[in-house]
Amino acid sequence: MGMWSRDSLLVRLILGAAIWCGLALIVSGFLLVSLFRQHLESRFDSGLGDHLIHLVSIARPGEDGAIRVSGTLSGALFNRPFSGWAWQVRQGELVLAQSVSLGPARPGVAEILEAPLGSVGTFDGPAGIRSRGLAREVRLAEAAPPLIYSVARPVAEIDRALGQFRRTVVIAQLILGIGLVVAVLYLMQTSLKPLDALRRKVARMREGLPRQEDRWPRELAPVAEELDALQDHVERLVERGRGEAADLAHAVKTPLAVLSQLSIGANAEDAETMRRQIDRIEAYLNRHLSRSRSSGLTNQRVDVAACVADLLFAMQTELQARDVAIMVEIPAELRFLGDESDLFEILGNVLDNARKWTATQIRVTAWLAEGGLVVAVADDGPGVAPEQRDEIFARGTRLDEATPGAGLGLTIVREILLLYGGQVEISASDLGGALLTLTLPGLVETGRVAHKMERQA
Amino acid sequence: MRVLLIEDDAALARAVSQSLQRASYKVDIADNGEDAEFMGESGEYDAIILDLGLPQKDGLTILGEWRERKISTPVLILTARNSWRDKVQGLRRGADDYLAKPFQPEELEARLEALIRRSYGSASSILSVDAFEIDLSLRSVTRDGAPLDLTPNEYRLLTYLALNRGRVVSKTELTEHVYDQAFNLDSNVIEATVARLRKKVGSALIKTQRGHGYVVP
Repeated sequence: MGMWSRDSLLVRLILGAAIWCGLALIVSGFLLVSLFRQHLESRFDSGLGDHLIHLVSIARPGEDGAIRVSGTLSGALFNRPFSGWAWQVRQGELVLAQSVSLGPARPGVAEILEAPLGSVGTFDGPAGIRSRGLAREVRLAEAAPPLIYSVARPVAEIDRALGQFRRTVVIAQLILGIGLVVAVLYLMQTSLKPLDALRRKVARMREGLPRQEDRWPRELAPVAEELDALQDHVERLVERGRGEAADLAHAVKTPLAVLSQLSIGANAEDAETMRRQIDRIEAYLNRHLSRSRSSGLTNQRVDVAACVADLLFAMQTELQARDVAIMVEIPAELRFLGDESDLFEILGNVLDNARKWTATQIRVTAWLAEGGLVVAVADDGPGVAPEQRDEIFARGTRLDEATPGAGLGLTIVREILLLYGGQVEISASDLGGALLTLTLPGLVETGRVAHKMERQA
Repeated sequence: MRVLLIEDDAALARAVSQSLQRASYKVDIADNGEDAEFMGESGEYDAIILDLGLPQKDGLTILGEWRERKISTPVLILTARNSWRDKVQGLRRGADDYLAKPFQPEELEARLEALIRRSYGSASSILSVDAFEIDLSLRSVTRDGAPLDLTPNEYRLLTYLALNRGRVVSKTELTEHVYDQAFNLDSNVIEATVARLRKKVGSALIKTQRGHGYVVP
């Protein structure tokens, strides 16, 4: 539907082309028909002239004044009654001789063939046949009275031929018109194709995919160049903004740490207020730091198993002290398509959450599904009640105020996931606690698989 | 317990050092990378608190060099960089703990205490020696459940000997771990402190190995 809306360039161009071609075809059609009519008439008229000359040469008055016809005019229709083909020789009002088609030339009965004298003209002939004819006054001898020779043929002949021609012209023009519209349609779609390529280019820019070297038609090349320049500009701005946000957040943290130390000197109530306010500022900073860090670009391949191993290494002291059993099942070939620090941030927060809540065990599994890379983290802690599951991802919510941490971890996880079009779900795990299931863009690095298999063989 | 605090922000260094001193730590401060590396190499510290963004030499580089030279003093990284990747990087480089700024003084003390305790191979924060119990997190000493009133120097001295239980600790080593660097002491000061401590805990707890030092058997 969109393609055929009034706002479509294609529709506008096709409508324009159709109207213009239609007009041109109609006018040229009329012109053709009228030219052909002129041609038919002039041929018709010269034929009449020839007939008249022939008639004068074969129909001559004898000694007695009667007309003798020696021979016949070419054209059998002169002899067929009511054919409209007619000739006549008369002297004044007296018909002396006429063609068979007009009947016998009996005085008083024969109608006068009233073809105009001197030039071809149209008139109503005998038996009401619309005719075109020519008459000439001929004086064969000095003394004799002038004879009027006239010839006529029916106008219908011209009309018939013209009608046939007109039909042919209409059909030809219609075919031509349809052909033109089809050609315009094809041309338009071909020349609009680069616009579609341009749209895909912009989409790639938005998704942060690497730039492709395309060849553009000369008219679109400046647009493509401007788009690239715009992207560079935006990237520089974003980069600078990110850098500044990160610098600001880092710079604020040290003074904040100083304030935090000073809370020792205050009374318990003030110290508590101070702690809460500092927590709030810190949560705010961390949230913005994490935002400014995450890029959502999907042009890197990050080893998922190695990332999980690194994060568990970072948590090992506490996990060992609490005697928490860790199970990890992640194929070594599994890759996350995106920024390394984003994956660290996502999995770090999710694993840290499991670390906080688990009682005796944590299980981390990852695999490649149709929807992308899936990472599942299960623990045997208290779990999350179904009605609280949405709340846990809400901004800054902490279900248990007593647990250390700003409670932003899972909010940050969801925000980064959104950048990648991924998602996170929380449910009950078979271990008895919570199960967090993350979906991310990912792939299995097949090159490595082949390599590994060779080695094993 | 003696701690090296490496922090280039003077205000934070002062605040942290004060709160650690209240928690009866002896604190030395380094405010740039080169001094920090040199001081850390001495091996005199029970723990090092390391900021990452330092003038002259980056914290992670310093840490890497210490670990290469087999200096195993426990290191706690204290930094504004709080991403998980930074954290993993720091720990992989050889840090023992990682704390992001801002932080609660109690949190830092708890982590520091756990770090030192772990470096002496003790899993519990309570050291039991005969009838005595030293609670490292509360910094209290009890005998048969009754609290003893110790000065910070006495507490540090007792704790250090208890953590190194069974090993003879020289007067020099004790001095290094118990007193501020600023003190230029002779062995009399240690002897006086030990004498005062023995009055409170009894002479059986701390044995003198003449010519070598002291030991908690």
